[in-house]
Amino acid sequence: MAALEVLFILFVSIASSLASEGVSWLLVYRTENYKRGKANIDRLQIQLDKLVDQESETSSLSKKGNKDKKIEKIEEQLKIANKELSFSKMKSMFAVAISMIALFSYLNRIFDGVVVCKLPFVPIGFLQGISHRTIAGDDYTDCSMTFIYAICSMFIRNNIQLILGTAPPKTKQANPWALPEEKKTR
Amino acid sequence: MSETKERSQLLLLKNSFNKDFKFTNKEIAQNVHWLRQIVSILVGIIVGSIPVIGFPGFIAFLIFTCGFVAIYYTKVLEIEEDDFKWELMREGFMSSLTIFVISWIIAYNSLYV
Repeated sequence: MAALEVLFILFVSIASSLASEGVSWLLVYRTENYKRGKANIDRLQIQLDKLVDQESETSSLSKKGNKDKKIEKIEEQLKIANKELSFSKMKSMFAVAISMIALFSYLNRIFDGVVVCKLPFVPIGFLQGISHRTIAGDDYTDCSMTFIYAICSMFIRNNIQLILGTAPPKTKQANPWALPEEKKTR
Repeated sequence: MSETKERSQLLLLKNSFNKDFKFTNKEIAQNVHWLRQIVSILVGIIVGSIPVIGFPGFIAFLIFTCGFVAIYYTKVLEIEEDDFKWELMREGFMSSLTIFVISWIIAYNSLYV
């Protein structure tokens, strides 16, 4: 049954992600260095949120200028703290990379040339290379292990990190539809 | 100023439709993430069971998940900040897309292959 093979790959991926998060915890997350860095970021973020809230309440120009400087200063500190934390996380990236490569090799051997499942859509362009890897024939709805594994990895890792609270701090991306902010008058 | 302890994600999720419950922005984003995953799984299963084949499946995904998030933050949370709305709309999008595809594939293969 095709669904069982997909489920097998899914569960193996989940187990692997949990294992690599465990290793990451051992190497990075439990260290005092990391804990301090994270607490620092949380504190700065709270300060920043508070200042931004205050700014929206205050309409006075003179006070506004002063608050803006404080906000910029804290944002700068946040940037530095985030950079330091990212450096710590590089160690965990190795753990993740190794476990993913090992798992991929293992699954690759088991499912070499095997049609794992039938796709309910025809993958576009470059995705065909992934989904049809090692499979003979030209029916592109046939799907290899590679595609399933790639998809599983994407949501499993994100969600596990969110559950365990190990997700990296988010960088704010600009809202493409927002009106450009009015330049602040001083 | 002491930091308030982080509340359990399960607690937050249980209260996600409780209008009397007070959320921080971070907690709202977390809730939207998880609700989106749940909606994506359900849509994937439905789309796979019908079955919808091809591009329309992805259209259904976009309509239902983005529609759900939009309704959730306007009707339930009553958020007015445009920047935050956009942030919530993006929250968990890639995860939910991939989990939708897996649900779709599993449902489709269980019933039709």
